[in-house]
Amino acid sequence: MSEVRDKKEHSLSKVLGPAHIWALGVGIVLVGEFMGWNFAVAKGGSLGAVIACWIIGLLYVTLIMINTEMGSVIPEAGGQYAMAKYFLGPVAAFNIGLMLVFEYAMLEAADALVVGEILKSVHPDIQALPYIVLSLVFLTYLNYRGAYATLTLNIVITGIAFITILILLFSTRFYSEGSSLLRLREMTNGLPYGWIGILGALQFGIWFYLGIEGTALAAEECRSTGRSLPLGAVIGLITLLIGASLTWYVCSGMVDAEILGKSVYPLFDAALATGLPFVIAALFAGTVFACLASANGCINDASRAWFSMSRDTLLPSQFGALHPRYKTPYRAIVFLLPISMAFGFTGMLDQVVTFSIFSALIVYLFTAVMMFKFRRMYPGNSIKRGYISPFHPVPSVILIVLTLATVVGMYFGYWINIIGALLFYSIASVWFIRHRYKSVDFRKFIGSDWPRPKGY
Amino acid sequence: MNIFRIMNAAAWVLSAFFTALILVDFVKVEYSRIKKGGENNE
Repeated sequence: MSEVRDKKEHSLSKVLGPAHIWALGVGIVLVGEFMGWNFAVAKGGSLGAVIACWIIGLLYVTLIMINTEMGSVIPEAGGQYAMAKYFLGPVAAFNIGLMLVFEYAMLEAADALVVGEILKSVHPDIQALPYIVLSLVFLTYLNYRGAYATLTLNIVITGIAFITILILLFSTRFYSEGSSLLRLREMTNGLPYGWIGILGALQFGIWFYLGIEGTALAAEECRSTGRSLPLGAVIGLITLLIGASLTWYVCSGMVDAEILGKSVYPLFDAALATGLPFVIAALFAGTVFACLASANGCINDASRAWFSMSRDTLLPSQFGALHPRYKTPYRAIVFLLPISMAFGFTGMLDQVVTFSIFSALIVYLFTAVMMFKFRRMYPGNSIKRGYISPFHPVPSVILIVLTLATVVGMYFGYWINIIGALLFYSIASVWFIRHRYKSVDFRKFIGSDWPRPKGY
Repeated sequence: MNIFRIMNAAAWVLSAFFTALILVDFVKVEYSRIKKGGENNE
């Protein structure tokens, strides 16, 4: 009886439906359609960028298939971290948890930085800093009050941001051959660097989808994990695949490839090229909303990962407390705020984002390995799955190959960042093994109601 | 006074307001936890 009460006290409230999961996933990612992806045009040309967009789309389709199958079995906050603790053990789980926290905390800082920079670009008297701080503090307050309100706001602002892309598309009159503003033949530059250019473009193609896997972090807060998680994640990925293709199509048809490859806000530049004030205003609002939705989702995901690690005794137990009224991991939320702010104050947007992307890529590699182990430990109907990923092991193999190809492409431009990140996670692992491992309570780490694997 | 400078000041004031809301509630929760005898939620 007391174990049931204890479990209830440690559990987040179950309030989320498929629409919230959609808003969490798409909200985090959509900002990548408003900026960042277009550097793929500089690396691989217009054609290289769209090929990278679809190759990386395939990477994420396999990731979501794998993630959703494992996530629907483990109705616990923490996403890939929670999977790792069941399938790989404490050291790998600690590393994956840490990578998730850094992936989202750094992305959150980058989003806030961009909000400040966009507003600053309106008028020289507008300062970036107050808006960076306000974005972070306001969204932290919302997250502090509860996941339901946070992700309901994300449904609205993500929806508005996506609609602004459609407004831009229809404003170009793409459907009318005679009056269309799109000039794909004149504006695009094909594949100027050949196939090697595509390899270089892959790391920027990731901007179209990075963070969609964060849907699994909300598993514990779903009213019905087996239904909400697959539905929200798959519809979210379809939304992003459509959004990514539309974004490439509109931007490539409106902005010259030379300019597009260097643009800070490609969709906004495409809107400027239409010369229509309403479209320009809509895309300005869309860019700000996309950044806010992303930061909002990142606070949610980073705090859940930190909270889960603490609840499982991998980190000091103080962070595992829930708010008595709102049932949110309030200490984890408040603790991560100054960390994100510190990243934001560095002002090094590309460095912050590169660390975030690299952390995510390592998590993807672990996810594929976990899928192999999961299918071996729990074959067939030995555990109730909300979703069964077809064609195993093909998706896992594709995920490993494409992730490694992206890391290779990234190595050409950011090898110092990659080595620095590997060094950081190695030092963190040594710290964990030497100082923290002995404090891990294995009764709390793996729940007693978790079914034992085949042959255990 | 320039409207943009007023907006900047308003953003700082709002930031302070939301920070205060978080901190006041945080201190209240921690205080009641200590009064009840420590980490009763852990």
